Amino acid sequence: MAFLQFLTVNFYLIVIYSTIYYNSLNTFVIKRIYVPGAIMKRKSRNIFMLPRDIRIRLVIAFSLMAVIPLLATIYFVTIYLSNIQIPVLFIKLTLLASMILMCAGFIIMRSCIWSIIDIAHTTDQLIVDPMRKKSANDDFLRFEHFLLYMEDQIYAAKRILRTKRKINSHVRAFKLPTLIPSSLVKNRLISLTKKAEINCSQLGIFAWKSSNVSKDESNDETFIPLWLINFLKDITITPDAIGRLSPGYWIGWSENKSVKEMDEYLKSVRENISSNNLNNITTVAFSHPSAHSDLSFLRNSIEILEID
Amino acid sequence: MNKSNLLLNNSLNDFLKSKNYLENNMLKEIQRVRNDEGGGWAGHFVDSGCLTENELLRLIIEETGLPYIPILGVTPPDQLLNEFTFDFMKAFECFPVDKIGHILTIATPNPFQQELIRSRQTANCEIELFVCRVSEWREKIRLVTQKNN
Repeated sequence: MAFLQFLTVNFYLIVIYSTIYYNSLNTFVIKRIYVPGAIMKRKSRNIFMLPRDIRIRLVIAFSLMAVIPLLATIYFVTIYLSNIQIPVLFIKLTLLASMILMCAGFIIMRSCIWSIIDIAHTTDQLIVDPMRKKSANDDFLRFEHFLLYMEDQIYAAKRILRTKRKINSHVRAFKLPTLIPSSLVKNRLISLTKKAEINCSQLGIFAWKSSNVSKDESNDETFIPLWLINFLKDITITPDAIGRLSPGYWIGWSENKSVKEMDEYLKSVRENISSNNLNNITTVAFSHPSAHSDLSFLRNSIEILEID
Repeated sequence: MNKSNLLLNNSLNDFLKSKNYLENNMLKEIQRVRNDEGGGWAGHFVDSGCLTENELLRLIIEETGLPYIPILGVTPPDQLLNEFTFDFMKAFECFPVDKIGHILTIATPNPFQQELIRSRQTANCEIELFVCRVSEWREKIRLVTQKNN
């Protein structure tokens, strides 16, 4: 009886180790006697590009999580069917060992996945590890192919996401234009006008000034007043960005806007002002450089934008 | 509550809801827009007009005690900047400031991002967060993109 048990245990141990060796080292010694190993080999073809380290860990994790519990089950079923009496403690210990090995397999599997996600760190290790000198060139080339493959996959995935976004995109109720920090508004506008002049493109410039400035607006440079929000909601052209020059004085711009579009905008704004009795608000809109080719006044003093 | 636990266990929308800056229907709309357009929470909240940038900054500093950094005056080393893609910085609303030893300093208008902390925090790398304004962060990203192009 003891001899039979000894043989069974040894058989399973051989199978476990052979699985690991077979898949990691690709030896053909036990190919004929071990079927799961052959299945694993076929599956592992899909992961041939992974670094050797990760491949080996994957196989070990697979063996620990799938093969060992399966073998333990077969072992106990065989014993049960053969009516062989074995101590309960031995069963408990075997089950406990199986569970511990399964957990170890899970930890190894998790580390494999993280090695792929955290690919920069894996690359760093691949270069630093002195144990890799022997098969370094082969490994690097394979790893480079793997990275290129992943790059392609990532780009493809991003394309799919973008397409999905385009299909699913709804009309947005309202979005405030990007707010530019006050200290940068003037310089930004100057650089944009220069760019428009060089590229011969049209830059739409908007300016709003209110004579009534609220306390909130005076205290907080990022506070966009309600009158301006209402203006932005009503107008047909949405500025790319807006910024506050001083409390109550806001400026916005939009690239590639024609003179005609700006005139239409200004007309609609004037109608809006007169219908809502907003006499305390001054609005200016023009297209640069067509409408105002000379903007030296803008560079010297932005206040001159109040001309209408 | 520990500072890192506070950041890991909360999200910006929950935080703003708890401060009564956000109603359910407003959050639903912002969530829909974010799903459509991508990007981070802080930018969407400011764009929707539910609170100003300074209000957001004040609330975050009061809650977390994180320091404010005027990010426009910061020039990170190129090597550090290369570790972050622009898509990542835009999605996670962050900007690398510096890396000294094992401490990586990141500026963000939204520190309530588990993914940002977990994606960069390793056994050899500790994350130090600073808070900045959304507009300043956007301007910095624009400047760096312009420089790289």
